[in-house]
Amino acid sequence: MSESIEEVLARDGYYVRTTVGVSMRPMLRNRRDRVIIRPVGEERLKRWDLPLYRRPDGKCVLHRIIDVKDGYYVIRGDNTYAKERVPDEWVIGVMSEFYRGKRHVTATQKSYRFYAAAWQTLYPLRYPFHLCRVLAAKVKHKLFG
Amino acid sequence: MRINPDFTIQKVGASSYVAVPVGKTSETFHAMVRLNETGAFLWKRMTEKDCTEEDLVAALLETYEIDAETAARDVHRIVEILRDSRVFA
Repeated sequence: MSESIEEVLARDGYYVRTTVGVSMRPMLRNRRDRVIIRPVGEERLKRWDLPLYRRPDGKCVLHRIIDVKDGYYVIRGDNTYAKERVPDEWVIGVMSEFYRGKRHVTATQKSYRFYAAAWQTLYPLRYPFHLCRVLAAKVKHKLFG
Repeated sequence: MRINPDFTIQKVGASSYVAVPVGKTSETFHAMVRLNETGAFLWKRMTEKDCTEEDLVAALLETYEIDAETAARDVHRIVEILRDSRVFA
């Protein structure tokens, strides 16, 4: 029987996985990049951290903290437009570093923290473009099927 | 023997490495392949070119202070583990 992520983290102190999906673009690309997850320490995570959390339906998600609240985090993927309320107890680990292709980046690196802060700060500008794209896709579908 | 080119190797500790696949192979291979320094050294050789166990033993003897019998035994054990892990092309 295969082990759970929680079991691997508890035993080895790390978990490595290829990224799947597009919800963390542009930073992480579907099936091309890798993340290294470490157990969460005693302190609460910070804004812009990337926790790995398990939803009640069992699905594991790696999205970004945009706000820290008492007992929970407000989370959103870099390429998603809906916020999620994630209680502390859902969090099973945190990304400590990743490989974008051959390039190695740590979560404490200044350039990475700058990207994370800038990308989320630009959300008010990105969201209208996203809405335009969604609307254009709907119009195109209506006109051309 | 040659490692499937979809596999990438990452250093996760002072002498610990983990290999996971990207691309098509990642759709069906969901495990991590854990390697120590020796395993990672042999892994890198097998990503560069097709190797026999003799090639790998020779590479170990060139690089590490180790006797031939130990090198052959270690290579055989690691190759068997990698074969069971289905990482060869």
